[in-house]
Amino acid sequence: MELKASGLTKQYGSKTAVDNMSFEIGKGVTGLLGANGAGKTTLMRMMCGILTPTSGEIEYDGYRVESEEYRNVLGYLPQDFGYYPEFTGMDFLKYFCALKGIDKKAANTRCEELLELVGLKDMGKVKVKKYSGGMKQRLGIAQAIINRPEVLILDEPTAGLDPKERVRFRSLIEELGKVSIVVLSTHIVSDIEHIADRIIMMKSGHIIWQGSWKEEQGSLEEFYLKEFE
Amino acid sequence: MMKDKDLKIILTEYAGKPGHLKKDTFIRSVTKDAGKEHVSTFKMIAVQAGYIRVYVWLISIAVACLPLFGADMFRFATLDAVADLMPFVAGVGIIEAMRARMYDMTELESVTLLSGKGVFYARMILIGVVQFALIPVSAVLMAFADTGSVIDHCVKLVLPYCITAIICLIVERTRFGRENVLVCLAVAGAVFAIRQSLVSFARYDPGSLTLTIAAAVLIIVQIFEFYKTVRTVGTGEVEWN
Repeated sequence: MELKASGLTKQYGSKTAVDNMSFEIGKGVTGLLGANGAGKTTLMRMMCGILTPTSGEIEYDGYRVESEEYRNVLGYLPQDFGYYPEFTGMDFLKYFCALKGIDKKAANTRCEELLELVGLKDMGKVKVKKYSGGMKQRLGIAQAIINRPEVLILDEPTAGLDPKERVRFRSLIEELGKVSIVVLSTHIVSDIEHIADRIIMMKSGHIIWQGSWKEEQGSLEEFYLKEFE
Repeated sequence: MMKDKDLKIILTEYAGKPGHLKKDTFIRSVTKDAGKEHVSTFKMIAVQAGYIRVYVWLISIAVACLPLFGADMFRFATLDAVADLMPFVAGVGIIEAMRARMYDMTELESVTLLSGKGVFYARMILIGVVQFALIPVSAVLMAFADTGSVIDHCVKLVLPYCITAIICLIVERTRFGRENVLVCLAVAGAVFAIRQSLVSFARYDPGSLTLTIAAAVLIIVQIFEFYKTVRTVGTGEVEWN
């Protein structure tokens, strides 16, 4: 189980959002830490095969990210996502079950199971447009894990969540990291400080530090702030 | 100052522990088979059939219903009425196929087994096939009523339909089109207005053979533009933050 990027570069006209990045990510939680505009979202979109790199490539266990095999084991929560206005929470999840090739019988059980897991059991029949920001985010995470992904990519997953939800969320992510590759981006150190097995720190499209952060190294937040001064 | 770790403990205690038992059961099941099955092209199209809005089908079916009821009930020129409807039928079809873009669902759909391209392809094929199939039905009904030629009737419906569809598909590939999905309705309105003025003022009749050839060419161009648009779905360069 390994997600490997080599010489990854993405340019938007004259702007380089991601510059020659190489890394290998294994099972566990990897935190992508960086200020706004560091290139995290661009990197994640390339990891999902949504954006084509200008140069370089990403592979998962030998499969290219554009392949069906990879999409079959991929879960993704974008920073911003929408929903069709007529969808209830249950419809939303069932739609993604259909798109992810989960048969109808398994889909019903799966959707109920997930709604309960993310604390939306009683909201399944309510239209998504009536959900609060935190509820939508929880529904987003539910769709991301609906196909039991081996690779789970979460772009700012805790945005819009209240402190109580944040704690629950982190705990869920930590658990998921035990069985799959979880890559989570954030600009908030506390989101990943205690759950990430590995941290990739980004600045202006470059990796400025990567590895496992140990308590004896001091405060990650202080180190992070110093790097961004 | 309170450390984040301490805050986490306090919050966990405050919030109460999540349903660990249920969560554990779920997590343990993660590696098991998720009930996934191969998605064939047919299944891909069938899945999308359930998610196409009723009004799209209604406006499409109106193409066949107008000749059935329109001529008798309202005594208006049925062929003109149906031909006037065709640009909107095409425009609405493309808006529906591109719906993910309108509701910010493209990224989510792109990372599924079907992929963003697959979803657009399935929707477009489904809507296009139904709309195209209704054209000869409508033409036969009208030809039966006014003793005209079925091919002539078909051609007069295909022309505004294809012209609108082609322009919409081209516009959808531009940044402006991507940001304004409803532009297809404006295109439909323009084609409708041009057709109206041609009907009212044009004295030149190109003849049915010329129109038939034009319709055949437009169908080929539309298929070509459709595949060109499919290739661009999901590859749109998102602006950097």
